[in-house]
Amino acid sequence: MDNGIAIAAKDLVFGYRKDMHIIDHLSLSLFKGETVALLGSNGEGKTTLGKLLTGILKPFSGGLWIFGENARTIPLSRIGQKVGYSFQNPDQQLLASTVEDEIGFGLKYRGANREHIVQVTESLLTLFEIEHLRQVFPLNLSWGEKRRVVLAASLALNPEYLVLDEPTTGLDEKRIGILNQALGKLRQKGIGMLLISHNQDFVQENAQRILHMEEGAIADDRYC
Amino acid sequence: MTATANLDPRTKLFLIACLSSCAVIMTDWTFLVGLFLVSVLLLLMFGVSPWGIIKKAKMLLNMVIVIAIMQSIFVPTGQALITLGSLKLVTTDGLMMAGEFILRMLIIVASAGILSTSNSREIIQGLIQWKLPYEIAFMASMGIRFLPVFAEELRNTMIAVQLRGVDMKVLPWRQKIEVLASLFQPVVAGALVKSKALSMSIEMRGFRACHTRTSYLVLKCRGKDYGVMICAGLLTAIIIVWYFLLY
Amino acid sequence: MKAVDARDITFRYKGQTSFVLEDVNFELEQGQIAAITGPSGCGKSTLGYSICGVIPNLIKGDFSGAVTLQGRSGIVFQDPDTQIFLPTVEDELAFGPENICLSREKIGERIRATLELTGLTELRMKNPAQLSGGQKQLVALAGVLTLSPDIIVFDETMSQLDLAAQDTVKKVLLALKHDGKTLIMIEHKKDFLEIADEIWFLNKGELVRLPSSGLVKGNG
Repeated sequence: MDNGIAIAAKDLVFGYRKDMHIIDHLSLSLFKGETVALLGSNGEGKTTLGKLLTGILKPFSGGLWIFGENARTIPLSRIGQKVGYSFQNPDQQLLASTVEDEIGFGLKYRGANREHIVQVTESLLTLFEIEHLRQVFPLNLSWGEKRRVVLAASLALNPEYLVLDEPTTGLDEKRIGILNQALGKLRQKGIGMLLISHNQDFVQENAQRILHMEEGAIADDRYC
Repeated sequence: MTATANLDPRTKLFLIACLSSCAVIMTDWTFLVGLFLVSVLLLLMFGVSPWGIIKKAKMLLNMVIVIAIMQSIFVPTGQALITLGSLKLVTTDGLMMAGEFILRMLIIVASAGILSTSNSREIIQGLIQWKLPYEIAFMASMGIRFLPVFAEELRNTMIAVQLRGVDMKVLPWRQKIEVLASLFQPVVAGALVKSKALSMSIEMRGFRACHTRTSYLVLKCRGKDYGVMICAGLLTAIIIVWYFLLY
Repeated sequence: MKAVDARDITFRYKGQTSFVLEDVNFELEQGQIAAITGPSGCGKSTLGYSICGVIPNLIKGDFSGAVTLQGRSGIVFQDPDTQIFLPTVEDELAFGPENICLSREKIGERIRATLELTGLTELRMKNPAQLSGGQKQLVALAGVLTLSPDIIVFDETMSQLDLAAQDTVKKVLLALKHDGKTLIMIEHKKDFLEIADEIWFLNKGELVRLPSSGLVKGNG
């Protein structure tokens, strides 16, 4: 039964040490096609929650379902086909020797044909205005450029949901504008998003629903 | 943290030196088992769970067991327990040697557990106050600080691969090697970029600006530190003399 | 008196064909805050590195021009994970002053004062690697401040901070300015430009000072 839920979490408990819980009995439903912003002060656990919701971190207890599948029983690669994730530090996600290969990485090793890889890569290079960087070694790029490359690479898989951790870090206003446009197009395609961000303007521009995190739980959940 | 864990890091280094010296010198099972029990007792006194240490060192301990088994295969003396034709694969002497090796490694792992009750800065400061050149101590502390970071980065890189929908387990071998080889360059380059950025930060904060440097943290041994070191030293000397008298 | 006077700065990274900076001139009076802004990848960080001496001393390339500074410089980089490497916040703050052979009493004073200034007193004995991204950046900033530099470059320091931490850093910057420090912020977010006395715009290798009528004044 499709109840419109993309990611459902129930009573999640997690900490980096057994005696200290960062996430404390957190329950949450993220709906398909909805753009949600996750706000909270530094140290409240937003990044940790983002990683828990995408199966990168395993909770001590609690349930997690991603597009109806029990996330605790399926491999991360299967989750990665449906949920794209952009780390706070883009260096952690740069896997290839050129920007072009970076964007096509997932498609290549999932057996996509060459024409499709080229087509998707070209459209994403254009979308993020990084055609001139296609042959550059990604680790040599500036922070903002790396961010764009990682986002482009996440979108190459055509995910149904995206989790973006501080996606505007290192981007100037013009590039944030380009990102907003790209996210708008993704919303039109029905892709849901969880945006972990400090940037109020960015949140206001994109979010339909805002979650506030405090002391390991969702303190406020409201629609804009 | 127990009161024992608050001992000066140099006291802990001294205790470890005593334990390790005995472990290296002794080959008798009785002494090695006794030494192992002493090291477990010390771990408990320092508030460290021996089981926790074993869990953390699981990979290392698995390797130790493999090495011990391989060692035992090359010892032909003693009664043969497993043979392959005329070839003695496992002998009683071989098993004894393997057991000794495992016990020694367990004592060393326990020593690391004792040392883990001080932070790396305190340990380095202890070595510096024992006249180790600062640059060497600093390099050691960078290793302690960043080896886990690089291990974490490798893990993150593998997570990133999976998040791109790539399941390494189902890839054919050729593609598996291709992915690992293609990751090699960014992982190493990432480490180099990070080291370069770190070295810039360190230099801009005056590292080696002067031929000497002050230390804000100064370790001072208290009465109980001297007491523990003297007792440990005396006991170690007595045990070693006793061992040589017996053997 | 100009605290920073950079003339004809031209720089190309080693192995690159194009120059990132070409005959760029920049100056700043003592006790002022300047913001250098511009599109991503335009060379703002490169200029910041040239001003504080990272270029050409630590980063090699084709450098020409002259930079004159009245006093010591310091720089807080963008990524806090490459600026913190010691087991406690206290150790991070002590590192710089230890390197320049200050006395233990002086180091202690500077640590106390800097912890108070940056709001990190309660995190003094914590492991900085386990703090949040914003807290790490504050520790990185504090680690530079204990060296008491006269001119400080902030290379997109604010980008990982939440609103509360941004406010703390802004207050820190204004307090430093009040103490006569000269600050150069490399930022592209408007929120942080409000405390700047001058805003410079860098694009395609050209640096231009924006007219003061375009500035939004903060509490400085």
